[in-house]
Amino acid sequence: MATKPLPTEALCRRCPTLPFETTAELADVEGPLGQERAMEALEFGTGLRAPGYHIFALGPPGVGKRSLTTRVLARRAAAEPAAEDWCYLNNFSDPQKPRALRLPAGRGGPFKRDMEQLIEDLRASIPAGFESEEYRMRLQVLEKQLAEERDKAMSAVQSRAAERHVTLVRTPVGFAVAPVRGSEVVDPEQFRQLPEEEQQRIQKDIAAIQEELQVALRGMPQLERKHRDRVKELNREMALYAVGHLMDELRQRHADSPEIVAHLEAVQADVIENVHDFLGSAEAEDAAGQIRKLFSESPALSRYGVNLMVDNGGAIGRPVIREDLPTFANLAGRIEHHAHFGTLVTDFTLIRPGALHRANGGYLVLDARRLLSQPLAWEYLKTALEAGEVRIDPPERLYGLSATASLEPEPIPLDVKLVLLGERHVYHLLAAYDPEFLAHFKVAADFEDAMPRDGNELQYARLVATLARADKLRPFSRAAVALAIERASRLAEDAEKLTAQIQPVEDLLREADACAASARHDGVGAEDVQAAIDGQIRRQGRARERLLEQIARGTRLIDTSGEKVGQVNGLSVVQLGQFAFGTPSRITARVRLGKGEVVDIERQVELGGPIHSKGVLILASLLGARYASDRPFSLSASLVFEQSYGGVDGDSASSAELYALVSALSGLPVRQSVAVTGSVNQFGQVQAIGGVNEKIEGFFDVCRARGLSGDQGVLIPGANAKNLMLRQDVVEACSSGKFHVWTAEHVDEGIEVLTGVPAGAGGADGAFPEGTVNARVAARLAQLAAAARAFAAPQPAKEQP
Amino acid sequence: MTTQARPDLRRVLVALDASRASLDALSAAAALAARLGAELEGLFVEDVNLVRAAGLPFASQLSSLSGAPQPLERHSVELELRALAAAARASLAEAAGRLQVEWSFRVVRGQVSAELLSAAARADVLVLGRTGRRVRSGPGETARAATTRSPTSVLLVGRGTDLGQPVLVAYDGSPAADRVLDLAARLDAGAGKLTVLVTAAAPGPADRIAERARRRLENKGAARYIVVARRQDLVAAARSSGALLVFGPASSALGDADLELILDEIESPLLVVR
Repeated sequence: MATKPLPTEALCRRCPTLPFETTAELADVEGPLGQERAMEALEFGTGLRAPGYHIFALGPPGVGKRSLTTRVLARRAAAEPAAEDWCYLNNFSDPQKPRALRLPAGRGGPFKRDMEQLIEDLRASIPAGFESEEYRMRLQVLEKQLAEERDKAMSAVQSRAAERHVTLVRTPVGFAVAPVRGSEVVDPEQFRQLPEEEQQRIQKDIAAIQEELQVALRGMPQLERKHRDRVKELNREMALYAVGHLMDELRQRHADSPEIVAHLEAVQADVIENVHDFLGSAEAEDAAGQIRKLFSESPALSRYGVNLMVDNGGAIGRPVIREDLPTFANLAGRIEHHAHFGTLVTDFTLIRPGALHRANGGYLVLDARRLLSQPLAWEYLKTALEAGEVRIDPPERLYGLSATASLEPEPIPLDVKLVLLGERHVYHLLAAYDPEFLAHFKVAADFEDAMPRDGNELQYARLVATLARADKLRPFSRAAVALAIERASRLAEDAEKLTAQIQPVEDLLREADACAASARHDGVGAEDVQAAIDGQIRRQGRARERLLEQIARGTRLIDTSGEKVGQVNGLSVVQLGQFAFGTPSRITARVRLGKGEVVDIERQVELGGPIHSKGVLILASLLGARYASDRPFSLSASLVFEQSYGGVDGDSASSAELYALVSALSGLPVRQSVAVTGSVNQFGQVQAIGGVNEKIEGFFDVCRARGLSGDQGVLIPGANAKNLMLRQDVVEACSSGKFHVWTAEHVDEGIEVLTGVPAGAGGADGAFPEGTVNARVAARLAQLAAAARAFAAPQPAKEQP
Repeated sequence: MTTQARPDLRRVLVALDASRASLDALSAAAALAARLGAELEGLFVEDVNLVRAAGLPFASQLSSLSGAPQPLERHSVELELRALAAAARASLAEAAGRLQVEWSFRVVRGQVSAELLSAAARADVLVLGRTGRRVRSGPGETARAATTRSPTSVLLVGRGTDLGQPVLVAYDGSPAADRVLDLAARLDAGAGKLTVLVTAAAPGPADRIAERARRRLENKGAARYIVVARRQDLVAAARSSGALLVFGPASSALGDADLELILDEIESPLLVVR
């Protein structure tokens, strides 16, 4: 049963002739290609506005998660009513806790402007009232009243003093009471000469007057307090006169909002209470008063203003917000401070909105990985969703690092549809490790990696046209688009599929356009696309070329001709970033008498991974069951990847390892012009592996460097034939018979390709036909078993002569 | 004083007691002396009543802030008076030095009003603060007594005001008023901000009086003329402008009784020319 190489057309599925000349003729594609499931999920998720129905769009990078999601959200949001405006206002009863105010969309801006105008008007009208003649007159009357009250108290004392012939004398700190003659105080000498009784009488009189004076002096502060109260009352009256009509106008304008009306009441009460804040600029204050004002805690007039956090005035539909840097502060908002005489101070006007505020009532799109990499952000987001409100807490307070008094803005009710974008493994890790995750993100929009090629090629051509137009590239010719589609198939590693990862395709188109530009082509032709592909490979090909060079110079020992016993060319794939390439590895096997073990040397030195070990154990089991099912498996075999120093994993070499063992057991040499890939199962079936294109091309490059002999080729699993999208030069070599790709469904087919000897099918008794490979393997194993038995049997006693 | 055509103000006496009001008076006095090219004399009167009261065997004082009794000793009173006099002297030296005015300073002991009036008799104008270390509101006792009884001109300075412009002058066309008008023109110093308050009971005489003033003021800068018939008009004009009001005692519309009332009603600086 001689295995034939695959025909040329099976090596690379060419794009059929497309029905256009250039992409300029093609219309744009409407929706995404091959993402029907994700679209459906997005439509469902955005339509269902219920708690927990947030969306996680998952899929590999470059499949258009972001653009598609944004498009779906924008379309839906535009058809919905605009979200409300939100403001923060000063809380006059507790300035540490600013109040949140919800207003219909577009009302926040006018309200803010009204309040700014009010402050301006108050600045003018209050000083005007207080500078009026009426106010001055009334203030003078009050001052006169105080003066008269003071005079009355002091005059009473003075007149009583005069009755008793004593007087009040001003001293540096207050008053003394002394006896007088006429208007002069009695000289101390004269006083001492007075009769004793007279002196005592005077002293008594003085004590009595002093007592009265004391009462009068102690009553002075009370008089002044009363005066201050009267002035305050006057100020209130004047302030109300100046403020009232302005407030009435505002109250009428905002009569439909009880919250605004209540706030205006509070503002009016505060303005009247603190009317002097408005007089500061008009009154010539002394330096001490100015400094006091600078240091005063509350900002003078800004406290009557409005901090418009969210302004949806003029917005069409609900907001769709994308936050590319989802830090804690960018999500939750922040409370800023400004430096004020060396201290940091804040107030409600310094509260800044976060993405949650801006997206409230609409949609918020975040990148899951970035979100998770920001401290506190993920936990905060879940808490906000759980509580249904946005609360602005400074991070230092959350960490308990600082206990300084700061603002505690009233939380704002949160109604947002969250859309996270991320790779699949992020979604699955969250689902596995965060118990709250699935409760919040009930909708998964799972994006496909690839789409079927059948029937979609023309659509894909339109996608190429759309991308080219969006990027303002030259039109692509029919052949160029065909090559791009074939490249999309290669990127999908499947001749029957096209990659859904648009990004690398878009990159290719852009680079092809650049090639066309440097070649001064009006449009992009197939040669430009090919130049772009070659350029990508060349730019990333340093490591690949170094490996090829090592093989060419004999540093890495790889035979591509002749035959060897127990030695097979395996194939492996090296992945460097986005670039992958294949390279041959020499696999060798040695056998000897033993206890039925196949030693995986890679595993012994911990260079082999678990999947590789699994492959080796499977082939040991296959060997035993196939060739030595009825006798001890008295074999000790060792397998090794020669010149491998960096670790091996995967089971794609297990068929190659089996062929090496079979060769070693049968003593039949293996063609070194053939490289092998594929894994085997316990029944000898050859199974599909990944990276088949890179592996074939890797061996081809080695052979071509030495000169193609015509008998070289690669043996791949039959199941991988549909993955073939080989490079053009490989396909051409195969079509001219200089290189071959064989497929094998079963190891027996591979054995025949590699040895040129029939493998031999087992008969009903399990015996293989004479002269076949399998018969030779069975015979060798039987021989080893006999030898083992001979070693194990007790030695006969030496005959006595 | 005689009714000469031009008063010759050579000696400006300022009463100092180191109070805030006396400092205001000092700066106005220094400005006045500088404008008139006069000498500035500072007078600090040690109140003999205080010294005597402190010498009494049972002397004590009550704090004006708290009403609490505190000891009053002669020795400490003497020290305090000396310290106040030194402070007053320093202020005088500083103010006079700034305006480059010749100055002298005296300390006397006696009854404050009497000493002031006696010193004023030897000076050409007495400058004092409206409110001193007062017991009652309105002008202090001393200020009131000095203004009404001083034999010479008196400049009464309110708190926080200075001898600025414009200048108001009451004028009734009498020879004494001519003298006052000349002084006012000197104080205006050609700034053209002189306002003449023509005191006349009827419009006819008022025109004549105004014309007389206009002639007298020729070549001395522009002036405004306002006719005032009553004391209230004069008070209102002074109040609204806050300007220095200059008037002589012989104004036909204003008698002595009116001066007492004006003292209570006007807080702007007041120069009573005698």
